[in-house]
Amino acid sequence: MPGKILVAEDDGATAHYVVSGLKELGHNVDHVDNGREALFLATDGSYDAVVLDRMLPGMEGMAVLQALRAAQIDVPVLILSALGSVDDRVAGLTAGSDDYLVKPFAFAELSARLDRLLRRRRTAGTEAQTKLSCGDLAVDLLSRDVKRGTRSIELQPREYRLLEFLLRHQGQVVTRTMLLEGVWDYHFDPMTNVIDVHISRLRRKIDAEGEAPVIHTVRGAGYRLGVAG
Amino acid sequence: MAHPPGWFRSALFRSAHVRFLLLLVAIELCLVGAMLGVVARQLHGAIDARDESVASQLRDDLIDQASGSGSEEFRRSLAGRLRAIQERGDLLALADETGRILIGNVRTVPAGLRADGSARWLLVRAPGVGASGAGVQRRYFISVNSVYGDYRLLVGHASERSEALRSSITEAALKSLLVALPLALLGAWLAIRVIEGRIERISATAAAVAQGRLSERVSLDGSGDSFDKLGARVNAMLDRIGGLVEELRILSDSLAHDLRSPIMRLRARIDTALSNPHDEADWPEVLGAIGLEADRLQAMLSNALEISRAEAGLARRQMAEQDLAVLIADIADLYEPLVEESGRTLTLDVTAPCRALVHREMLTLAISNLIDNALKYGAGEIILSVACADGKATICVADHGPGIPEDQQQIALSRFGRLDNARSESGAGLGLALVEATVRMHGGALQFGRTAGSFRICAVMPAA
Repeated sequence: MPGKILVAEDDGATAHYVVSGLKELGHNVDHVDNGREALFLATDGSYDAVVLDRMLPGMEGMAVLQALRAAQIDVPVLILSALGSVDDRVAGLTAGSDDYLVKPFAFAELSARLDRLLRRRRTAGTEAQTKLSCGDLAVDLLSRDVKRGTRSIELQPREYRLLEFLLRHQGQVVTRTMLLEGVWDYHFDPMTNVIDVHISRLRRKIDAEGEAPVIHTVRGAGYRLGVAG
Repeated sequence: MAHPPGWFRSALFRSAHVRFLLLLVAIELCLVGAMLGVVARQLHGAIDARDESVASQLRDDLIDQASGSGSEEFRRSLAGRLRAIQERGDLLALADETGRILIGNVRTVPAGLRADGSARWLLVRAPGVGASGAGVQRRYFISVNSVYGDYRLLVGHASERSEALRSSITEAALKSLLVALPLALLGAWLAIRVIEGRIERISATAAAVAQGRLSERVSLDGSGDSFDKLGARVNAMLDRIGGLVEELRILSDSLAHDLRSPIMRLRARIDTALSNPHDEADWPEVLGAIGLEADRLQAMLSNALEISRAEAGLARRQMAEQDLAVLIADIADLYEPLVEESGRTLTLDVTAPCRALVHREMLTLAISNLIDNALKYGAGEIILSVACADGKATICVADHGPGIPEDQQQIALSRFGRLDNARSESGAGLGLALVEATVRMHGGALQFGRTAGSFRICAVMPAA
């Protein structure tokens, strides 16, 4: 989902890595290397998302964020930071950013998270849904019934939460850390393949033999729920 | 409240030395003043006592005479003595029953004096005949007695407290102040020197530490006074800083040491790929392996970062009271499939709610490290338990593996510490250093329990 994105990053190599990657995905990208310019450009409100480094010359990233929020500009902001402790992440999220990514990061992680922010902005304000579906997979959010075509699927509570998260982000790449944050509300890096096991269990129940798979593995990034591979 | 005047706020007056000096001078001046006051009082008392006895004698003498003679004879005798009495500055009067003065150097008997022989000090205008200072008020010790029925005899003796005495006392006061002032200054200077000497010891230590001699400490004299206490506090602060600096040094040393091997492996893979430029088919595999090494480096770095944060206690502000039973159940929910996938079971042993002040994320990370270890190095069922007793909350992770031998538990707790049989596994060390630092941040301690066929690691911390 292409959009107009402002990247505020002072490190040349990282900025090139991010900007060229985002342009390749079809985004319209502006790049600034200091906090004051970032604030100046972001204030006009024409961006769909801002990627903001914390340690910027001129004006610190968190200060830019606070100034934006104080001026009632609610553009989604994704903070990039080399301050990566669990404590820093939680602090970054409570300071009004929409997402927080720790350096070093994989580009797939950044693009997946940006994609989520852009979609959230487009779909903001839509009514609360009572049903989610993808192809012949249907979930009733009220009765918690899960069906694949006519086949009824029994899910454990955590499997249901995982499926609901994937369905709400269908078509997007969701990374392992996004799942850990979104489903379990943990903000640390699991050192093991703990998320993969959850996905493979869910997959065994959702994608039965002979059915077209809806849960796809995206190499080097994470997972995507959708009808076509 | 009124603002203090300008001089009070001036830099000179703000100096503790100047204030101290002024205070000492003021105290000494007050002391001298008080002493002189006491001396003057005593002196006056003594003079008054003498005057009183002289007056009493004169009165007794005259009453004796009156009782031994007739009134006319007494009157003549008084007339004969009046001149001498007048010259001494004393008062004498004999009045008849109507109050008319028959003889004497007083115009009237002052009203309010009862003729009962009691004597008191009164201010009276001095009689104007022959005496110097006539007409001025003087202090007299006066008594009035009844003689011959309704006749009244007034006898007064002038106080010998004199202006000369008063001025000599004032002079003495000024002279002693002249002596006291330099003494006060000297005393203040000496006191300031003593205090400065004590402060100087602490100040010199601080300067030495600032110049890099981190092992310098304030020498204490064991007196336990406030300077000694300050010195001890400064020493404790320097010890803490020194400890943190030392830990930081060890961290950076071990980090540099432990980062070498993954970097070495990275280099080796890159070099191998570069020296075989034609095996392009292998590149995705090579790049994947390089990516894995980069991930491992990142994991080690973030682990080290979390430990430092936990040890510095920086994350404490995010701590909140929570039920540990729920926290553990959440962790089990996340890890159960992983444990089952490796053919083991994860059992939850929670009987009752147990509340404690915790940092949910850090504690979860620590416990998941313990579960990871139990998966990698342990065996059999993994039991997660929470129990509250005697104000202590205990979270245990137990399994049926060999556990960590007692002589190796310290190594396991060190950062990146990896026991020999664990070296072959990939990972960023056992992560026990992080677990210990996290538990310590929660005000608790890590305990190992090892029995035949089972091993448990418990975090014991204060319950809410």
